[in-house]
Amino acid sequence: MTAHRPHVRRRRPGNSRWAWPWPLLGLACIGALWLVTARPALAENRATLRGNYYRERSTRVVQPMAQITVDAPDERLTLGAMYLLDAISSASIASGTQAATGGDNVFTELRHEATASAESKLGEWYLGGFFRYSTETDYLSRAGGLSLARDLLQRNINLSLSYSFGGDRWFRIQNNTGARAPWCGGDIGVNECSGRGYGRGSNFLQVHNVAAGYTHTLHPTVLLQLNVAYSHLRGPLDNPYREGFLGGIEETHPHVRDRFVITPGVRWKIPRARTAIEPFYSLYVDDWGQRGHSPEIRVHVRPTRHIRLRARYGYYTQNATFFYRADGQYVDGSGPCTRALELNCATADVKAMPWDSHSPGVQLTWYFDGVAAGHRALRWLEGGFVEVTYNHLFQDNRFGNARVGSLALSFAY
Amino acid sequence: MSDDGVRVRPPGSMIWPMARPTCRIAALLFFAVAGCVTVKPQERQYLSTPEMTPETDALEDTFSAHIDAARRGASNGHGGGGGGCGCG
Repeated sequence: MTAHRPHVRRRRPGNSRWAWPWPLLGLACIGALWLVTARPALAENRATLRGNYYRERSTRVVQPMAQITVDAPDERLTLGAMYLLDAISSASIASGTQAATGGDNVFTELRHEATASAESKLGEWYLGGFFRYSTETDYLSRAGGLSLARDLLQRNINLSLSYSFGGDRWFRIQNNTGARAPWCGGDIGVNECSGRGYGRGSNFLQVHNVAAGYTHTLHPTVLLQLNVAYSHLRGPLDNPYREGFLGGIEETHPHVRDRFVITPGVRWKIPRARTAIEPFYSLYVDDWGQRGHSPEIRVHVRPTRHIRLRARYGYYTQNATFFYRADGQYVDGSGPCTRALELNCATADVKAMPWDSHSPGVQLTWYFDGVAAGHRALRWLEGGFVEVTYNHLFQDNRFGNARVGSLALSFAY
Repeated sequence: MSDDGVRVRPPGSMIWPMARPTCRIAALLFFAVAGCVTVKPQERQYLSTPEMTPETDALEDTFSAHIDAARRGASNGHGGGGGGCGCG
């Protein structure tokens, strides 16, 4: 009896046929067909420069950013790229970390962030994707995501769904030695912490984010919006530099967090008053026992056709996480921080404390269309605008009040 | 369930807002108000202005979300873990 030989096609040695990635090729063909058959639309390329500024008692953030989008050849495929620089100067970080940093100096850090994106509007469908890379001396982050949206009922309803994943690597800088060590959370010793892999004992923070949106045109002047977002975070979630605030105890937070936000809102245009009113509200809940409420109202006024003024007011309040202690009497735990092992937790994080804030602000936007239409030499300004924004934060926490400003310049080309 | 027959939320679990009757009623009202009104394309002149377009504030919101993520505990950030020791 002869043994049954399985009928397997074998490739001869040396016969290196290139294996066609048939599924990818099929998708590419479908995509190309879609691009060819979908109704073409107007193209608009845009370049935007923006400078953001944040200042509070002990921290200053200066953030220049540049964004460019190109329709290739029109809105059926829009490619985008953005770069921003975060220059963060802080005095508080040194005052709290003399033991770790070796001095009480002003602490200045640069964070670089680059994002590449692609969007496609094909008939009633919108597809999008992005990849973001961000790095600074003690932090490295990569994030990517996909989004899908669809117009319904003659564009009266828009439904959207998106998913993004972020993978961050955390480190702790020892300024007195200049060394950079992985940070895995306050409950894990430096020698047990790895800068590779994932899970407990690794410095990898993973963030899964799912968001859904619903937009409904109720009336030619009224737009209704509802957004929900859910995030799952797993990894080190505490700050490596706060032991100075805690009498030498490392800040220790749980390693898992589930966050949920729901944001309903309305945009209502009042043509006779050249005004639009935009109230919205965010409710936040998570499994650390924290709740947040942030109602906000924005009023847009058009004193002239090409000038838009915006006034806003926002209120924000949050309660404490389950492990925050108002008396600050934490003990040096010997295990993970969980609901069942609350004594292992320690925090000096303002984000874990109860506080609220009020934030009024104004914005002025000047659209260049009027100037472009009046002067032939300035026609290239058509579609451009300059925007100035200022918000003031009255914060009931140790950071104190803050000033937030930005200047944006945008051109269509 | 506890001994008294009262539903007890396990420690560490997140309260799902829609589980509350008031939230369910609010959600029903939301969709009832939304209705089936159809605004025709030629009636969309006001909806196409920047103040009625959510995308207008996208870059401003990115910066606000980053600032909020570093200061607020009850903020969902901008889909990432943060940075500059925002630490989630």
